[in-house]
Amino acid sequence: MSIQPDIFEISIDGNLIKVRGIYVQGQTLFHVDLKRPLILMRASHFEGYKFWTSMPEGRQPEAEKIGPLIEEYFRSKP
Amino acid sequence: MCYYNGQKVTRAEFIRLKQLEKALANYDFLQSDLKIGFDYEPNAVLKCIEEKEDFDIVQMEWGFIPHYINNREELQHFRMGGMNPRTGKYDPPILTLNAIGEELFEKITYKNAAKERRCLVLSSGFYEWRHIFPANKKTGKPVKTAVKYPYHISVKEKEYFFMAGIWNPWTDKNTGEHVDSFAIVTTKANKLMEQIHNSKKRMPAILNEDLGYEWLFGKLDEKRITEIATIQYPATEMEAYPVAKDFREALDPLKPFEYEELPALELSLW
Repeated sequence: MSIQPDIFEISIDGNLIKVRGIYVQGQTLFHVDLKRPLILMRASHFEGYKFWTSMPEGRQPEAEKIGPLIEEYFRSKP
Repeated sequence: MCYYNGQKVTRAEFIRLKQLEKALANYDFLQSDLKIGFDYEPNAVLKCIEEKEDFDIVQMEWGFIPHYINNREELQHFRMGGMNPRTGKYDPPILTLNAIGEELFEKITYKNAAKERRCLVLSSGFYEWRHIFPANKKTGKPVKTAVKYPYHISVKEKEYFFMAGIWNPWTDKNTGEHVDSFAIVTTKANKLMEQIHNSKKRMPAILNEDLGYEWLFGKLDEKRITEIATIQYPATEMEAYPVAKDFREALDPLKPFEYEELPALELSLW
């Protein structure tokens, strides 16, 4: 097991933004280093599929925009 | 029916999300860049999850609070010192920001924590003061009171690194407030740090990932704990530069500052 926090960059609207994985109560969340920091995580919808959400509530549009970029980062990671 | 951020979720999922939200609400450090802050501020610390080879990143107060401190008022007196109303004498301040690696098992305050509650303090850099004694213009002899210059120190090509720490849970007996507090373990300064922290010649015990893992999860005896606690990170893998004297109040405390009168560090010694 690695104890190195995950830190990487994603491109949002042409700007490279730093993201770091954080582990709270055994669960992974992502801290997005925007001017107003955003914390994202995956949650389970009532119908069974996963979706991105902000924590605390209130920034769902940003979660839906940035979450898939994080996913894309992990998919393209060698 | 439960909704989180307008999305329909099960009751169990809603409870999980709300519990996480509650935990996050106490993590001020997530609202800023990770750094080792200033005295007694909350910091990000990796803490072992009991009976599991896993960790949480949690927030702890910098400045180890011993069990025998009953409340915040006593803690303030402990840290700042002052006249003791019971004895009528002056109590000196007791600093527990750092724990001397070589003496962990000689200090009752730290002994149990060193054995049972070791942690890793997550940092992107730290500050230390360099003491310079310039020549007196009249006599040519070094002045008696040092001029102090702050430096920012970090590990080359690493955005984050680990410092060995020990922690202690504490509850204010008056208010019920509970905090985990920690001390950073220090070791003898390396060639870089002995030039910067030239008054005490100490530095944090910075651990690479393997040692960090061992420090956090290992079932270690006193000898091994002391060995890791006194590890000296190589000077060649660290970097440092001066910052403004008012860096604590600055919008960007990391901004380099040039002092004309400040002699350069002797890089050839590394």
